Amino acid sequence: MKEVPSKYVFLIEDSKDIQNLIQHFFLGEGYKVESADDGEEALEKLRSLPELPDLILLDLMMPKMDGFQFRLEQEKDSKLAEIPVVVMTADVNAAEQANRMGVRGHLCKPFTVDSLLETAAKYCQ
Amino acid sequence: MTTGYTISTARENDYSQFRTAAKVFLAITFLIGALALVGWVFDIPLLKSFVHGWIPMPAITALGFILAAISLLLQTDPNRKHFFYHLAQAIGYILFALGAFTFLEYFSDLHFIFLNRMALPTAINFVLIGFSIIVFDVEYKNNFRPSQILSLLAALLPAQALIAYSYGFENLEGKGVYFFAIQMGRPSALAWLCLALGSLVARPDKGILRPFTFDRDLSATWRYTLFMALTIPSVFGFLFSFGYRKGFYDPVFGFSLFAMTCIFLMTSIVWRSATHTWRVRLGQLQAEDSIKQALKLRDEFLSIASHELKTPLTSLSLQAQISKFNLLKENPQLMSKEQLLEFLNAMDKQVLRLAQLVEDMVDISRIDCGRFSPVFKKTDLTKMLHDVTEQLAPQAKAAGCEVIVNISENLIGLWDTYRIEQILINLLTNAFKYGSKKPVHIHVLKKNDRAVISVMDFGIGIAKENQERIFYRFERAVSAKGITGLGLGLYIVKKILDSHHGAISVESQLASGSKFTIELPLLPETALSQSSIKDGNYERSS
Repeated sequence: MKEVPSKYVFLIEDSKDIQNLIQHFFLGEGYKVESADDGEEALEKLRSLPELPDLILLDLMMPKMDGFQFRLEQEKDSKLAEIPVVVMTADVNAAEQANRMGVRGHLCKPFTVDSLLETAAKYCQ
Repeated sequence: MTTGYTISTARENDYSQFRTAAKVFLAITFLIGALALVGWVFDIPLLKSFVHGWIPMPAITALGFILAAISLLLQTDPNRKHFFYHLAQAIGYILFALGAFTFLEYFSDLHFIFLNRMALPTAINFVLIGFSIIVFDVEYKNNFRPSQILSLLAALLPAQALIAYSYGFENLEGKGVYFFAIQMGRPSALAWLCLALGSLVARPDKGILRPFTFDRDLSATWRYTLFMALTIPSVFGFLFSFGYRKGFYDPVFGFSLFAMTCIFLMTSIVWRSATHTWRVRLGQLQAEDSIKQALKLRDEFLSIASHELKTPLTSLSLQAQISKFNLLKENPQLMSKEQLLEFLNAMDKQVLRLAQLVEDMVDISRIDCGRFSPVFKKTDLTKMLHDVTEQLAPQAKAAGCEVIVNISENLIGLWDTYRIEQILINLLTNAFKYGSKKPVHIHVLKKNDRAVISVMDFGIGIAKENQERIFYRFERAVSAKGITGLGLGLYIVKKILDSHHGAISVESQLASGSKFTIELPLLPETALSQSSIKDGNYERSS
């Protein structure tokens, strides 16, 4: 089988359950998925990756480094700044706040797998 | 939330007291006018002048007083009928005309009124009061009521006359600077003063009277101040003139004494009012602060609650959706039996977590409504600890914390089993959460008929300044980020202990761990009398 250019999602989410579920789902849909538990771990991993993801799915309320701080750090890093980010949050106010920080969109928890797939498909081509 | 001060606006019955006062003032005016008029009709000189030697009150003035008093009595009721309103207005126009024409008579050769002419100051006052009645309920912006100003002006001359009379001034010729004061007899001056005051107080909740009536607490203070400002100079002026006439002192010295007394007394009274106003304002500011604090706490709680509830909901929803999604594809590789079982287990866990969160919230609402009464049962502490540690074993394992239990004596207490279990679960869950993967120690001992249970971890610890705060609702020592839970746990723990007459304390140091110690009376005698006992496990002779 001919290798298609991989669809690659990077997931930053502190809830292990949600992380595993999304990962499991994307793998089933033929995506490549990497994940991190918080902003700090995500930066570390992203900087060491040989290949950059097509999309970052970012939770906002996280320990150590939250979604907002991660965005600030990402913007500073010219290598990572261009990766589109979609936030996942339970807090509508936080989503609006994040929209002002230049993210591409937001998924309000609890979201549907269809919206997840749609979002991923939009940025991973 | 406690509020230090609530603004209390005067109730209707408070205003009704003022309206009654207005009616009394107006009745006095009516009576004076009526007596003088009777004197004229039946030609009784004493009734015309009230005291032998005083100037008789002209019949037209007496009639004017009667009409003005009737008109203002009609105005006193704010919900008066339309007819009475128009009648009162009509009288106002008549009085205004009466005063105005008399005024013209004084300065021309014209004669409009064929009765003994009233005094010039009286004519001016009828113009003022007549106008005041005509515009009685007219109000401009900033609560400005022309009627009140007119009534105040009408009070000036009679007040001056009354004070002058009371100081011993005698009506002689009415020349020069005494012209105004002495042309108004004592009964007229009193009638005028009552009429003007009645007109003012008839609308206690309006215009310039508002600050003196709007609030039960503050307004009373300022009414007192106003009363003193009116009476102190009058009374001490009287004493001054009395002393002067008796030749007790030199007039200049006497006047300086009068001035100093007024300054001293008025300053004390103003200081008293200012202090009271300041205290009330301080209370308000504190109340505002606690409201702001409560609102902030509520917003934070909503944000945390929404995060805490939606995380397991998201997980549940994803599990259900992915299972469905993959099952529909009928690809056994995507959804094996094991996978499905794993999902179902995880879903079960999330449901329990949600139930716990909901339970916490319900507990809080129970506490808030005062419906938090324990049901006491014989409880074996050793067995309970065993059950709890067993129940929490998976969590302990996940947190990497070994649980070490040390029970010095087997204790049996009369407690609400479910609630005490809740306390232990709470303290242990906290120890796992903040315990940095280090062992958690539980010690149980007996001290003076009390069970002393301590739960000790070696984790992140709690800063000194936060050690009290953690027992409040919606509070946690570390910021909300990353630590799950509603911040209600220790608050609920404290409330349960309160209901058992128990206590909780914490010893902690940052980065070296925390030790929570609870003390529970084994037989909460005092608690028993207030709460129900179930299962007949404890028989208590009353």
